[in-house]
Amino acid sequence: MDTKQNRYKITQDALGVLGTLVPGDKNVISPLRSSDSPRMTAPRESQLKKAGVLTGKGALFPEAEATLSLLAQPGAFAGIRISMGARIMEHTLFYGPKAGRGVVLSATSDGLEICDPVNVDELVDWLGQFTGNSFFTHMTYLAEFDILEGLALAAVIDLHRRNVMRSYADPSHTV
Amino acid sequence: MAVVKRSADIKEGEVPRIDGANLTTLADKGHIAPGNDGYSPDKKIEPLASHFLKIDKILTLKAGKLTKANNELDHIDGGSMYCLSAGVNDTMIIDTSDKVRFSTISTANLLAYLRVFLRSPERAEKLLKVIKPKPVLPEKEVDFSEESVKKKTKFCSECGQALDAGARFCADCGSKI
Repeated sequence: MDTKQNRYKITQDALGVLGTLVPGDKNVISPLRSSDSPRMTAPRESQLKKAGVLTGKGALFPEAEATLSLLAQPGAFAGIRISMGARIMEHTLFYGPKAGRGVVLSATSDGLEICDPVNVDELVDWLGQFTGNSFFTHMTYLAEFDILEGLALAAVIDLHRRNVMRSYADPSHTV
Repeated sequence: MAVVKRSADIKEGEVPRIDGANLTTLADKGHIAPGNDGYSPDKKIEPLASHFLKIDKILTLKAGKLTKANNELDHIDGGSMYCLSAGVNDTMIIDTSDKVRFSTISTANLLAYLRVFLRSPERAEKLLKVIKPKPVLPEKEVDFSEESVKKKTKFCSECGQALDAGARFCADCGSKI
């Protein structure tokens, strides 16, 4: 059975304003929590109407209110961030106090998008376009260290990696 | 927003510093080897450094939940994880929970893991421990020598042509096998 998904495209600075539209405190993991006191302005109201958050009269649509209520008091979150050169995309899933329905807040170069309810399979399939989807690995390595040993190993590996890169550019440099 | 569960011996806000003792321990465990210009990766992990010459994607995973008692951000075992990718088939997860775990992982397993992580971050931590990297080479080495191939290949008794595996008739002369 298909579940109707509501999607709202907003700008980064509109998040705090959305927080003012739902009554009550915003908890520490709420994306609607804002340190300053954002105010609703005419252009922003118009933008939120266009995004489908507000009705023509400036009231919250019932579906949008349900979404924002969850984002105001989420019980847990799980986030993924993928960096590819200068391109960064971030998806943070917020779950209500009782596990079940989740809302995803996606940050891309196009701005922010809130999607309720989240479709995890759709999200993972989208990620697969960037990571690839293969059962093949070139090499096998599995090791556990304490934090300092882990840092030391990462430093030695990175140093070796840089030395190899340098030797490509400068043949007199040996690894 | 990242929740990193730190080792008990590292205080909040403290920048961990590595010293010679950490390098000596790693050398004793056989992960790095001392050389003329300091330490370098041991032969067994040198390919790891070579495969990740140019890291093109970094995937960061983070999770958190609220404690019921004081409404503060709780720590979830597994904390933050960094997944470094160099192309499609070189993907490594660095799991920075109380231990630092380096593991190579296939992208298919990574996506399977992400499905669980996004649905239930707490279950995902347990799952990562059971995802074992797949060996690159078959455990038993395949013998591709001419003699071995001839020995394993069946031939048609009528025309002498090599037969397809499981064939009931010769594809060349049509004789029943």
